[in-house]
Amino acid sequence: MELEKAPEPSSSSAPSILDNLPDIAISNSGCPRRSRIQIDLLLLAIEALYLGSGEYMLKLTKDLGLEAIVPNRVALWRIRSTNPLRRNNQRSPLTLQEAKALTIIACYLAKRLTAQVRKLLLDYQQLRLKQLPVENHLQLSFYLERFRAHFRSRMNPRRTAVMAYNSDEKLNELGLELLGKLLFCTGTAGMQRLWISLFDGEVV
Amino acid sequence: MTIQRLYDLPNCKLVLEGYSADQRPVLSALMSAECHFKGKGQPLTGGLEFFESLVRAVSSYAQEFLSGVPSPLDRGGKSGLVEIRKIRGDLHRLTFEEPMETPTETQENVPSGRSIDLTTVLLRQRI
Repeated sequence: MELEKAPEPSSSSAPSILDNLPDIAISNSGCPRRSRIQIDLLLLAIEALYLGSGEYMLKLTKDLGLEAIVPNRVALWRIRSTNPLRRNNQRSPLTLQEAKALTIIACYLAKRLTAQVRKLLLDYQQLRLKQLPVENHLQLSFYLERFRAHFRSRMNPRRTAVMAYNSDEKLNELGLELLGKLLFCTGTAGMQRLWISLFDGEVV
Repeated sequence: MTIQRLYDLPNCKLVLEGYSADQRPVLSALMSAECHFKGKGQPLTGGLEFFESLVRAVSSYAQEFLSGVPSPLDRGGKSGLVEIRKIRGDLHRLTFEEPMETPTETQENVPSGRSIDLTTVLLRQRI
């Protein structure tokens, strides 16, 4: 059954926090594939870092006045599932407002987790210097274990892009790369940088 | 009025010196800039050209880091005195080409520069 797509709220009724991110010209089919993958993976990394983040994301949508775009858990799941790598990929497009809402949520959570992310990356550097495996570090191996589990349970293994992550090592590499990106989202203009990066190099 | 601005982070410090053209404490003209990295020896120093180049290189590299798409500076443009390049996923090399004021015969065409390898956490503190 195909549901009718809800009309996009007009810019006048859109939550004012969205104005922090500039509008970007996108095609009629919504945000590009890379944006949909990237923002969902960043949120996946956050979930692996912070156990209560699912609930906290919903709380944030209320606190930030984003309820009109993400009213509940199902809506959040539906929006994130526009990631084409998901098992339950929603074929509906990701609108600009929905993408902005996810970006804002990801950056607020990343800021909250700054100290933890920084520590994990610093400790990872030390492990590399000493040529020790990540399993030697309790918090880092917990994070990577959870990240791998989330990725495998939610991404469709038949997708070529998912098949590329067919080992623990490759998924660990992705998990660490996402940690680095989350750290950059915490900078002064981190939210704007992340937002623009989702569309960098895309041709409309 | 001479003004000094200090931006101090755990692993990195930026010192800007300049003066204000009016009564308000706005640094309207930059005279010198110093960028210190903890454990990386002498600071990088220079004037307005150095500072503008540092800001441009860092901003452009941060965008590239997030998107994975090479910045316009890497596509043939010249960023100036400061450049940042990726060594591997978590290591980034900042190179600083110090301008030579009056090259003598012995200094001619000899590039004078420094390169500093930064981890992602160190680099992020410049952003």
